[in-house]
Amino acid sequence: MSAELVLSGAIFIGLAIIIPIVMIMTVMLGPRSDSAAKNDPYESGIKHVVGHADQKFSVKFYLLAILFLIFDIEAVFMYPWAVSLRELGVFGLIEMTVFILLLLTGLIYILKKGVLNWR
Amino acid sequence: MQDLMAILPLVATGAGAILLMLAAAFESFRKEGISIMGIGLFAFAFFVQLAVANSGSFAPYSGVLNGMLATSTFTKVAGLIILACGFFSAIAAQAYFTQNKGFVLEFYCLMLFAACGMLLLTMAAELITLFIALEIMSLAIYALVGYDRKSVRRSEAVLKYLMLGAFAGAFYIMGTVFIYAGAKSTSFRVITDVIATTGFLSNPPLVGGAFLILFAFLFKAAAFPFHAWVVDVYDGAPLPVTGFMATAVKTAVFAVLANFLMISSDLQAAWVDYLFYIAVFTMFAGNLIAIAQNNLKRMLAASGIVHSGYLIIALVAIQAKTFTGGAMLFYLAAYALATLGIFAALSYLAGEEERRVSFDDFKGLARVRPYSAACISIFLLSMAGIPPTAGFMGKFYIIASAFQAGHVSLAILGIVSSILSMWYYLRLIVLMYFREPEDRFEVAEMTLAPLGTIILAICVFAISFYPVVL
Amino acid sequence: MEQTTYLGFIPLLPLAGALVLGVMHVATCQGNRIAEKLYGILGCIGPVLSFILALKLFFSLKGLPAPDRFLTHEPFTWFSVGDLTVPMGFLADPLSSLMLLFVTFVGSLIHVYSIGYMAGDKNFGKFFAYLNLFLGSMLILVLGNSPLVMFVGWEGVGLCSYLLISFYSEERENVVAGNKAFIVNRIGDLGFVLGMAFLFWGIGADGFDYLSLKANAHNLTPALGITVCLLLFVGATGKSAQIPLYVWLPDAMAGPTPVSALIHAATMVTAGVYMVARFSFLYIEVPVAGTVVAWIGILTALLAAVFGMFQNDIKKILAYSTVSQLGYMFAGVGVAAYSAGIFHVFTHAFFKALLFLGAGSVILALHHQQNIWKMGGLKKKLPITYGTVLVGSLALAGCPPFAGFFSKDEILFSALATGHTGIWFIGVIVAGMTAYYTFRMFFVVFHGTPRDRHSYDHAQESPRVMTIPLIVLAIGAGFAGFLNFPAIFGGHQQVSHWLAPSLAEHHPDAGLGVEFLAIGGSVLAFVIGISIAYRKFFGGAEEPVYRGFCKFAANKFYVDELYATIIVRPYRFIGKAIRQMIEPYITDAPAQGVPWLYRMTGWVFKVVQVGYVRVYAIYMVIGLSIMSLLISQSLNL
Repeated sequence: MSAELVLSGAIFIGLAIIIPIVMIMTVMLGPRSDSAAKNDPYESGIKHVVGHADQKFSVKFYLLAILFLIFDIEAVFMYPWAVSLRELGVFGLIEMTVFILLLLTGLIYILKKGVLNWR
Repeated sequence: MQDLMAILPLVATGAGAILLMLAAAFESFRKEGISIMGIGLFAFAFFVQLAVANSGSFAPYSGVLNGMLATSTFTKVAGLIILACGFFSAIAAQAYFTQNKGFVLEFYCLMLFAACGMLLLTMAAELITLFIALEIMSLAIYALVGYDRKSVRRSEAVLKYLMLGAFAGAFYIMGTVFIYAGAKSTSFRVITDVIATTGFLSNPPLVGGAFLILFAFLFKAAAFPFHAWVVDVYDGAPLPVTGFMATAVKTAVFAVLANFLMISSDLQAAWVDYLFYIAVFTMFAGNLIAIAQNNLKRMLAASGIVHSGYLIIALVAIQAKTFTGGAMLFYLAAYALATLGIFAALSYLAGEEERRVSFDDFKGLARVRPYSAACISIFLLSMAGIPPTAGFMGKFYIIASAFQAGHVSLAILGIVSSILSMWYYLRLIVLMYFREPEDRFEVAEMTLAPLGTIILAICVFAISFYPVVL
Repeated sequence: MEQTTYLGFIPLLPLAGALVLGVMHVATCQGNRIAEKLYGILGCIGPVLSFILALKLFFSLKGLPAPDRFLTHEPFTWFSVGDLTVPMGFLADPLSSLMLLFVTFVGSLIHVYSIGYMAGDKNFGKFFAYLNLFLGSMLILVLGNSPLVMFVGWEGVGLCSYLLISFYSEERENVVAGNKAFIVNRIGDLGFVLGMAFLFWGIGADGFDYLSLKANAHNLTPALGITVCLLLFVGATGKSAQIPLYVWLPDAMAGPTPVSALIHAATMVTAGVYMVARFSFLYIEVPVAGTVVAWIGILTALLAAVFGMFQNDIKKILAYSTVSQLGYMFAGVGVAAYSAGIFHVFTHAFFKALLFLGAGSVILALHHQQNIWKMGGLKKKLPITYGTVLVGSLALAGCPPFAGFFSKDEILFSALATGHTGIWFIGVIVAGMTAYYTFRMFFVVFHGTPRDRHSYDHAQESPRVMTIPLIVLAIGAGFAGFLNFPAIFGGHQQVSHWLAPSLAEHHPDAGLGVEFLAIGGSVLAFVIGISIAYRKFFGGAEEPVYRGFCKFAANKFYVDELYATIIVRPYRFIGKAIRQMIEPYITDAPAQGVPWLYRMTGWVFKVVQVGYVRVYAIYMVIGLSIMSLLISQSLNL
């Protein structure tokens, strides 16, 4: 049994104890207010989790999700870039600027098209 | 800097697309303005490509941007053809949308994005770049086909195309994985070296990967047995988009096919036998589908399959060492001229909401609109390969190259197929010239599309006088 | 060798003119008309500029030393098949430059004249477009640097002659005449094409332009040489109206008169002679072929002269005289006197254009009356036409010192000097007949008393735009002969010397006696011919009724009918028989069956094209499976 194994085992066990305790604590300590809306099981705008699975809901959720993905991946793409920025030098900086500017035009397009207006 | 020069047309097309995208977002631009901008941007990109093609001579397939891209005379000329296709399709679209509803401001932007993807596709020298290019092109084309969500036919077409395209795309990715497994790289140059050292047929992952990738491209090129989608999709798409798909996409796909096969002569040699049968089946399947059609668009789609067959003959005949692609590019150019011409003519002749699309609708066209009928006849004759049109020279070069490569039977089958194709091309000419008109063929007033049609008709003759070196 | 771009412009200018005029005509033929003046000016610009360029060419050639007198220009590669690369090339040497000079000069004059002659015609623009195209084709023919390029022009003039002969296409017979010209020419073209093919087979491997061919001419085997020469000559008989293919030319009179002038003087018919002269390096190698050419030529001359003596239509007389003169030219080139033949082409261009344009002037004055027996006494009414036609007639009849005398005499002298006494003898007889029928026409038309009072009273001289070309041509017809003034009279024979570098020619040595014999014979024949005509027709004569041989000759020996009986009718019969007896059973049945099968297979494929994505995907998977199965077989592990 190596030290790392013991340590990681300890962490897991610790987590297994702490998380339930925290959850119970929030229920017990937090203020409670009951209302119909508050009691509704809410999940990303889907109002009724109970019922038929093929109910319709707004396509705007998909649009938002796709747009989120694009900008999310942009951010993710920046991590490896940031790591190797010193090697890439000025050229890398310019390239990333171009990349971000391109995405910016995409954002402008989205804004002007009114995709983000929740009507 | 030289790298940037090489991708300048790509930058121009992409920047133009973004410009149009922004213009479409701001409501101050209207349909006419956007149309003119779209046509102008294609023309601009064409001249940029022309300038790049003329300036300096890159050695055959010199690498650009760390070997991600490669340029050569072949890719440049293919790029020229693509941008010319875009230009004439844009002209056709302008005419089309004066008579048809459902214009979206993003239309030309999508065309430019597609062209951008195609240019990238011709130059890609690395499998992942290639995939990105393929997807840029395909996504834009999907959107172009199906932008009109209210139309059931458009939606059906785009659904078919999208699903089968995704199917093929998945195979492409699978092939890339295999090749990476076999060669430990996705770069063409490394793959070439690996094949040179280990041999092709003794490296199963490479064989499997190349097989799957070829399959994906043959799907895009509408080769037998992956041709079935073409007729439905081409029929469902708006006329100018059909023209654009039939010409520009085909050019890009065959350019990339040639590039891919050129990776190694071993790779090509392993494929020659299969391509042989695919070429033959493609030609005959296309012919047989085409003769049974009563709809002009479907006939042209099916005839596009036949032309793919011819181009596959060129693929069979190319030699890795001496490849210049002259015959193939000439054929592509000749085919593009004739096809674009017909679609440009149809774009204004079809009338409001594509009323006239079947053979019978064009009865007696020559009486009412003699110039349009003459132009369409020229294009049809060129497609059928009647001298002295460009189509004849194109077929001649391809068949000659097949002879040179020793595929005599393929050459003969090509000639037979060309004879069979007269059936449906001449049928339209007969209807146009030897029947009484029942229609007055009234169309909206416009100037650009008929002018473009006439220019294309002249080009059909003009380029047949420029011989290429095989 | 230097590149000379302007060579290309010589044929290009009239062709561009044809394009512009054609587009203008097509664009305006339905509605608003363009003024005739504009068409006329545009139509004349091309030929005139070509003439100026031809002059420039002439002088730049003259500036070169004699053996180096050739300029070439190859604007682009026309096509390349296998090892054969054919450039669209032009070659200017003394021969083609001489041809260019008079073709463009006479052509330009005819264009100018046409402005007057065609005035008021509703297809004025079309006419000029065709004329320009005609001239342009002829210039390609003359300038082409290889038989293939020549063939482009060759076919071009064939096409234009068809278009122009049937120009008045409202009337059926004009269209028939056009068809006849075209079909007969096509028969000749077949010979030309075959000849070209044999030539290429023989010595074409090292380049197919004239210069290479000339260098390789000695490699041609004798049998092949004779074949090539005779086949090419078949082509020439078609274009230049020799036995047996001369029948189209008299019928070609159906076209407007300037067209006749252009066909007879400047373009079309001279092509055959030019071609033989161009291939002189071949003909000189095979004297047998030359002899055949000479004999066919002189027999044609005789036959046409006989026909000419009994014609009543002024244009037909001139047409037969052309056939006859062409016979002389072939006799000349046949006895290897190429420069003499070409010189006769040159002088003939002037006086025949003059005669046709003069005849056109007469015809126009009499409101399209062409029968000479309805004319008469026109001397007073049409003084300029009278004077110029007189010069032309004297030249044609071979009166010294007019142009025709020198050139004709040169041919006859060459025939005599090379020992072709028979040819010389017939030639002299034909010269007499020529003088007779020329002046028969001349006296009947211009002298005597008017036979048709009404049209005589309304006749008036043509406008200046027509008479000036007549006068210019008359000057040419009068003095062109001096350019090749024979040595015997102290001349220098400039034309022969000029042409020498282009032609493979041996100048025969003959004594003064022979030369005087030739000249004496010609002059005597002329005097006899003109005296008979003077006696019979000067005072005025009525239309004779032909009997016996005369009737036979007036009906042209029934050659047209003969051709109809032995060629056209059997041909038609065979065609009909095949169509009715053989085709329905032997060829049609399978031919109908194949499309049926084809269509049925097509239906099968249409059914397979179901339209379900899942089915298409299955096709793909099936194809993929089969292919992967096959490819796995070829793996070597």
